[in-house]
Amino acid sequence: MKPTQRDGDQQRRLNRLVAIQVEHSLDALVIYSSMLRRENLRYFTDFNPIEPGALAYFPLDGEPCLIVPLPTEKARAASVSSIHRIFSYDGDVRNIPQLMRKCFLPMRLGIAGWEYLPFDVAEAITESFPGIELVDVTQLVDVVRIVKTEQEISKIKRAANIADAAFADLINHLKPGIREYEIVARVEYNIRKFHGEDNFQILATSSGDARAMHPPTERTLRDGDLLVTEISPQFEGYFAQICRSISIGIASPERRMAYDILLNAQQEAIDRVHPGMTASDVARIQNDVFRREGFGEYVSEKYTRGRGHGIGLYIDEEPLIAEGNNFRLMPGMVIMIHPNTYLPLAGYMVVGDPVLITETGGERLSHSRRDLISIKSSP
Amino acid sequence: MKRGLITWNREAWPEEEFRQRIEQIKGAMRRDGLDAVLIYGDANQSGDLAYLTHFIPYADTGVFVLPIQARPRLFTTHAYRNMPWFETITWVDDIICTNNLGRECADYLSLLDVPNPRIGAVPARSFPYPVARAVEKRLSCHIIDFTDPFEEIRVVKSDREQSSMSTAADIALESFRGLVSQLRPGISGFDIAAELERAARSKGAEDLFCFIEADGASEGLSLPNAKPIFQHASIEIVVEYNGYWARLGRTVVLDASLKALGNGLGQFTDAYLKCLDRWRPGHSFRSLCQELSLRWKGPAHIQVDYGLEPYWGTYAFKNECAEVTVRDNMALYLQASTILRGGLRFLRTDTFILKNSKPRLITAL
Repeated sequence: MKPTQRDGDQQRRLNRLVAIQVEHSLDALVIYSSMLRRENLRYFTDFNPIEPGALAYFPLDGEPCLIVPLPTEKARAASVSSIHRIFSYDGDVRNIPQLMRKCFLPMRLGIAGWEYLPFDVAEAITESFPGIELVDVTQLVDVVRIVKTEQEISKIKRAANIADAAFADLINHLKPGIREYEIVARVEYNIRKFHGEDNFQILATSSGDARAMHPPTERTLRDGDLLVTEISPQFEGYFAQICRSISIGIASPERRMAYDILLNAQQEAIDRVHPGMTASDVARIQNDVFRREGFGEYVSEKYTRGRGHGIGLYIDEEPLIAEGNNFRLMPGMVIMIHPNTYLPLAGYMVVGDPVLITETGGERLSHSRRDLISIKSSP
Repeated sequence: MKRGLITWNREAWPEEEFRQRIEQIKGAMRRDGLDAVLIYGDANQSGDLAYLTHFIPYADTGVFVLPIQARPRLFTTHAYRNMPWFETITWVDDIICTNNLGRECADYLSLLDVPNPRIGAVPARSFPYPVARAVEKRLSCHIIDFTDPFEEIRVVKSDREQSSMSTAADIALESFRGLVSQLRPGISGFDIAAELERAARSKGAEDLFCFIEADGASEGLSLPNAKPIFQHASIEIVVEYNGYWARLGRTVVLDASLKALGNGLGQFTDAYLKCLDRWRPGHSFRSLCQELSLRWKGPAHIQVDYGLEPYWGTYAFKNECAEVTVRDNMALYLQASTILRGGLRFLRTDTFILKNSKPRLITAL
């Protein structure tokens, strides 16, 4: 539904953009949206593009505008966006500077989405505005989204509920003989049924020698296997994620031992997380559990990606929960806490949940069981 | 987000096919006097990268550096611990994981020790400016857009590529057929998407997009939502198999009392098929689109080089105005629609391959 006027939240978001522009002496700011990273565009304009290459242009003085690649996107944007001036560049990026000129002629332009800004768009802008300076402001803009409002948190909770429901269904239908892609088919079906607009799922099935998760393959689930997966539904733009490990048949003592290390690491971090703590602190709490158990060498990048990350309109937001990252946690942030790691005892194992940073600690937003589930193997 | 989760196995695609592709691209590089080409891909726009490497960075990005006279190297922002998986999908044996593509590409190119190098980039529509800038700065050169020569080669599909597209089309067709039997007034877009996801993925589809325009909604084809559909729905599905995509779109009348609408849909489909049957290699986009528009008095959209990209193909933005000539073994999709009084729209989308000078429809129900 198209907003008739900017609500309080939307106005506050735009005010934060103005503050960035003032603080960094920018006379305009562009939010560029690739298909991979659309979250900032959606956050500041309410528009979720289905074609790559949309951008929002925010002059410091003047009305913002939304510049989309195709007329069909213009119609879609007009029906939902809080930005009222919408133009199409009709598939030719050389039209973008002319459209920007209609709003304002920039000299020092901040770009959010810098990493994915296409070469041809940057060239069109720099050639049309000689002397223009392009400045990467991606991280500054990303941080605006980091503390969630009540409304945003309720959407993340809803996404977590969808993950819980899809996982509960999956447990009931897992059996030896099912292929990896059939597992994903079932999960995707349920996520849409529960009104999830998208899902990111990777997994691994193995006898215990997986090193990481990957897209589903044709591999068939066998007795004695370990299935590790992360399910990440998106509800009205917002993601939640759960990471779970499932044993097919009774888990070996080694597998149980490995999983207990992960679960203890996660639980300790959930119990102790609080505002003011750094991302590094949260990672260290988890890594120390591995160190205590004699697996200190497996906390490196070679065996794990990190101990969690922020989550919201994008699945993998700031801050990365890793030792050395001194980003300070604030109430209203939602982070994933997942000590997912390869251990020689049982291969790659996972357990992870979204956690809301409250005024006093952390609140787990998902409710799925976290024990190492054993599915009955073939008779 | 999940787009680009490919499951293909390199053993199913002989290394020789990739060697031939690389040699063809090198031939074009020599003609343009290039010393190296950088080919970019990410989870969503990966056709050019996948064409030479059989690799799609499923949640990250990658650049394949192809020098004329040195070993090619693939850089990706994926973590090293994914290397065992990379080795199952790509024939490239020199892969570097990095979080700074620009610096790594520049470092590698500087080792070539070519004075005043001419470096090309593909595709300009998504090649990241920071990577291009890092290379330009380090090598004191100006990156050249090599997209058109590169994609001129890629648009002609091999038998193996056509076979993957045909499988994608078969999955799309079967899934759509299954869906039609379940369509009832009151069904929501999410229900439709759920059925399609289950059906297509159970048949081995790697990925699926679904767009719906229901009951004359003004915003056109959009992502599925919870709103119930009562009268009619235009549904477009895009299915990926083995990295290759097929697109299929149809309008379905849900309300049996709207008989006139059903008749109109039949006439529209007849006109569409007659028009399609007349297409031959040598036709230009301009003539095709003009003919479509004339017959249907509505917009028509044609896209060439469908295949490895779910979004934009080679000539995506040269559509209605370009004198691009279609050739044998090109894969295309045609999306045509006409808007009736009251805003209801008929849609028809098909994927086809120009084979032996005739369009071979691979998404005919």
